[in-house]
Amino acid sequence: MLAQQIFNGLALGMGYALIAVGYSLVFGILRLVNFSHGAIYAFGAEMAMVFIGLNFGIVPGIIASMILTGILGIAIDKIALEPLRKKHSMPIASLITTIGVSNIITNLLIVFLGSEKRNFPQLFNFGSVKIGSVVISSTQIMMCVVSLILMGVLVFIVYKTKIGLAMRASEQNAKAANLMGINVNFVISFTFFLAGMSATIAGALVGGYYQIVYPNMGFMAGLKAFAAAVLGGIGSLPGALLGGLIVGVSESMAASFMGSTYRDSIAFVILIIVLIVRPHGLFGRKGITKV
Amino acid sequence: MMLKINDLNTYYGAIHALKGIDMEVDEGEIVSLIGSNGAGKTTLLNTITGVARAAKGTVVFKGRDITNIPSYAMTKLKISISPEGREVFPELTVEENLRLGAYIVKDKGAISAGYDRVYDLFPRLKERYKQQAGTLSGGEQQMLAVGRALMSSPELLLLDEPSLGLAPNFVLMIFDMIKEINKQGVTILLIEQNANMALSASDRAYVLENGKVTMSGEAKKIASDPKIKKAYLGLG
Ligand SMILES: Nc1ncnc2c1ncn2[C@@H]1O[C@H](COP(=O)(O)OP(=O)(O)OP(=O)(O)O)[C@@H](O)[C@H]1O
Ligand SMILES: [Mg+2]
Repeated sequence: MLAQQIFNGLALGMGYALIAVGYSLVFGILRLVNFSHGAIYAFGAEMAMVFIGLNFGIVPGIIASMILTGILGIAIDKIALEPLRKKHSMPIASLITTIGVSNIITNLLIVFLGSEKRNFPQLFNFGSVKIGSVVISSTQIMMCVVSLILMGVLVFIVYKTKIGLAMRASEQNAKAANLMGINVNFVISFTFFLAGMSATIAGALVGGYYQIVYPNMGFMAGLKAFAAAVLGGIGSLPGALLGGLIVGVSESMAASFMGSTYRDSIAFVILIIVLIVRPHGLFGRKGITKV
Repeated sequence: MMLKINDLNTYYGAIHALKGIDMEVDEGEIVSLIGSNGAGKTTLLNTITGVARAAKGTVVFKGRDITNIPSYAMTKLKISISPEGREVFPELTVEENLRLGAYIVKDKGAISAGYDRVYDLFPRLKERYKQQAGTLSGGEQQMLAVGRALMSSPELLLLDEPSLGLAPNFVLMIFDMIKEINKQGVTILLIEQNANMALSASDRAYVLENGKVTMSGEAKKIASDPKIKKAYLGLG
């Protein structure tokens, strides 16, 4: 029973981790919590559903949605956030803007698609694996595999490529990065694109797991993933992974041992405890101030 | 004429920081710009590099009007800067900082030639190539900032107080390097508080006071001017 819940939680946690990286990537470069990220995740899942409904096929449908959602991320930055940066407005203005954007996206989804829950196709079905008394479904295995691959790809991009170097440089000193010839606004767009793509993969995986999507699905998931990102140390990719897993496992344990009324609050209880002990999160860096 | 600045005016809100600057830098020269704190020296470089906006006037580089072009376009034009306060990337290694200096360079051979050139000028950086830039000493960070600026093989190098806060032996070495870099064919516009050293290293100089050029000419002549001696050289 315990082992089973841990496995269920790990699969779920991978989904949170993929949403959490989006918070972390954007926070890293802008020192901004993008509260529209949960809605972006829902948008990604819904659009995957729409494309699949248009007979794209499952994988091409998800890929089409990844691109579209990535572009949505860029559009949010270009339309709503970049103008604020240009005017050197207060950080709180950007923050409240992302909350507003979140509502706009969710409401547009409701207007065009309706607020009801829709069936999402099961993505993977090749039976299940049994280890002792623990049953792991193919969906759970694939959630873990796909998430780990995506994490690997993101780590590779950030730490091994030229654009990744530009991301890290812009994060540390945007002005100097510009003087080196880096178009920092392009790097920011790229970051939003990556965040949107990861969120779409998360949305498709979680949608496929529960076989359900709906416009408001990003609200709770977004908050929990944000908790996961902060828990792991916001700005850190391994932190987002670990934070996501902790949130997923604790949620799954709370649901089965304490009753499902506790499942949505346990992530925040853990977050508060961790932040009291380690204010910068598990993998957080101390000197994370904007230069 | 490599760089020609005409009637340049820059404001920070209500503060009129540059009040009509005219200045010229010829190819191959070391030109220094001296002036006391708040005179507008950094503002001039910021305006040239697009960090601050020119409200009026022009910046012309090799015949091309580059007034208010975005900062990230400077290195492509072969202008680079070692900014005030060094502005290295603290959590990246020395090598990564240098790599970023060559961000716009596509040719691998040119990038490795850049590393060689910089490590040749500053062997200390080579010894520390894996060290995080934030953990370097102030002098080493200054070398890194200058080295990073060289990585794009600039034709015009802008240096904002490269000797600030350095011990005397480091100051001497930075000035030697500046002359050496100039010999390699790089035109240099140098901002300095250390007017003595700057004037002795340069061909020509401008004196900036309160956002205006108050004197310009051969560096030797300026160094022997009684007013300058009194105000900037601690003599007379
Ligand atoms: N970002 C800014 N906002 C408002 N005022 C500024 C800003 N930057 C510079 N100033 C003002 O513009 C004037 C020129 O400053 P600048 O930094 O160019 O001087 P400087 O000659 O480089 O001085 P220092 O030798 O101390 O570096 C000063 O009065 C300064 O207070
Ligand atoms: Mg200055």
